[in-house]
Amino acid sequence: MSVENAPVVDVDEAAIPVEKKMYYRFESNDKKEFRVSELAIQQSETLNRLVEAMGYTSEDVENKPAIAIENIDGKTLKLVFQWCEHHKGEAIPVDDGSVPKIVEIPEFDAKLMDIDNGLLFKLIWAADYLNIVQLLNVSCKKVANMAQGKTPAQLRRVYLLPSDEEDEAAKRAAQEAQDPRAREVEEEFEERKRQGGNSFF
Amino acid sequence: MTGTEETENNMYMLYEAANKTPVYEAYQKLCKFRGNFSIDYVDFEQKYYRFYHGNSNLEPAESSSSRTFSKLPIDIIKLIIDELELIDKLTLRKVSKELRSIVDDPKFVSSNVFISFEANISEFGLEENQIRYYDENGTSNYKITTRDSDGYTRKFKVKKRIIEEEHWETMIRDLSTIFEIPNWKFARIIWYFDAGVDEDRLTPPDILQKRIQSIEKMLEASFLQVESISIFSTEHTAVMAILPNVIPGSLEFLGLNSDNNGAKLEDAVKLEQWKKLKRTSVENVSDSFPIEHFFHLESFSIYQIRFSEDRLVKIRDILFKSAKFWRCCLTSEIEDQVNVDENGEAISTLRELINAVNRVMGEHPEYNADTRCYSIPDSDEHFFVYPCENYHSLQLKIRRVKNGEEDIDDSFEEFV
Repeated sequence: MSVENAPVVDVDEAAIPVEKKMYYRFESNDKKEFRVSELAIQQSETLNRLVEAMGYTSEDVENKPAIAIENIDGKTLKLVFQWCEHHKGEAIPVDDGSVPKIVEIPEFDAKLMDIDNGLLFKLIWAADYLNIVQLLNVSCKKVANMAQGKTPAQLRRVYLLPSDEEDEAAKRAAQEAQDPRAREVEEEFEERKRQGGNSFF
Repeated sequence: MTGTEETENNMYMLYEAANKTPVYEAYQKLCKFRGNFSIDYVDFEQKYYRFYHGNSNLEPAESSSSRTFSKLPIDIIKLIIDELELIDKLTLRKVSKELRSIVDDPKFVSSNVFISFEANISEFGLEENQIRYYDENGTSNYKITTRDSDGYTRKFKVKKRIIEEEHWETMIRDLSTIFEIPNWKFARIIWYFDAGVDEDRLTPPDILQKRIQSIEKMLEASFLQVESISIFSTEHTAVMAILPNVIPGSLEFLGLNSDNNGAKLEDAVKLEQWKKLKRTSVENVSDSFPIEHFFHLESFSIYQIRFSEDRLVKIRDILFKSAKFWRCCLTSEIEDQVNVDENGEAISTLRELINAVNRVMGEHPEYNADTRCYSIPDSDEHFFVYPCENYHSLQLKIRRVKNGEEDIDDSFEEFV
């Protein structure tokens, strides 16, 4: 899909470059495009490092293809960027164990995460993938809150957890289906690691 | 990207990760080699760090459409578990073996656990968690109290219990789960059975015995490893349900804290757990109980004991044989009866005790009545024997001290 035809989602009206704010364009794996302010991107350690390294100018942002995030779909990415825009400029929490971690879910986050469980797990996965510490904290807290007062059977339903038997069957199936090419690479890697090889190229 | 190209890229990432090349440098190198920037950087970085941290598993990243709880990375599942309340952690570990191993994985040492049973309420506290189980207006509830974010004030919430059973049955079941977790250790457990409850609100005897039997059954299945136990119970069977099920040698301190000890001490002292104790604190010792049973300990205190002459003789004779004994504090309530001396003058009870101690100890050649020191032959130590009065009680304090270091007032602080 060309850039011109892609549906562009502004996750924050204020991020539109009326005031010449720097923003970046990202594309989800289902080709949905997002414009996100530079300040909001700072909430994601991964994306922040990436845009810093790319050193794009405003013209580059417009002229070059949107930055592809291949493992996250548009629905999830929209939530991620909405969260980042709302919390832009806020300090990123550091969990060094010096103080007990107390996570409270703000009202905005609670509304944002008022979504089905499947999407919530995708949001957690995305927060981890993009290294957005506080989004990961609140989304994990939300999942933990879902467990309150449940029986083991109810937890299985809420979290879509397999029983021990189902789990073992799934593992067996996964082993059987493992890509032989990937196995070959792993073996090769282990062998080279033992030999202490140089750069691949 | 073709399958072969992706495999080559993966190989490249593995090598660069093994050589610890900075991630963006590695990415740029690969893009330069490929002649384009079509490789997804985020995907590259995630794989790179996976390899960097020693995980060479090359399973393709899952489609984001198939995310479920169990497919979340283990670190994320641990984050979620960290946020769970204790009661929900106990439930989650019953869901599957894998979750059980994750919940149980972190080593956890609790300094204090209290467990309390009353007629209508069962309660336990474990670090910042305090859970009360009770029935109210025909519904079963939990009241869960946790520390607030400031670490001092407490907040609580009440939740309905789904499992319909007696409050104490639910709590014992939860306790049995906690005691069975191999990585969870407990330094001190305090058991209360109707402690401080008015006579008319005591647990009916048949219910109390059922609870004690349940506790015994629970502990028989998962022997307790704990350094210190205190039991507040007037019921002998409570002590004998708990004490034999503690791993002998792990228990260093035992506190029996009810007027009648809640124990027939004659039964308790036969146990290996008693013989391997280091310290104890006992509320009451009967006149007929042989005091010698305490002198294998390093320290002990008894809050009500009568100082008979016969008992002082036994103490005197066993002191030198007690290699580990360090100190003790024996307390006796002052009786109303007043004795008089040969001149018809009233003798203070403390004076009587001092006279008795000097008379009995003085029969041993190593005892010096002036200094109240009882020299230990072939040693630079002695026992300091110190009768004193404390409120309406008499106390006899004995302590092993280095010669020249008598400072008895500082020597008898709390034992625990």
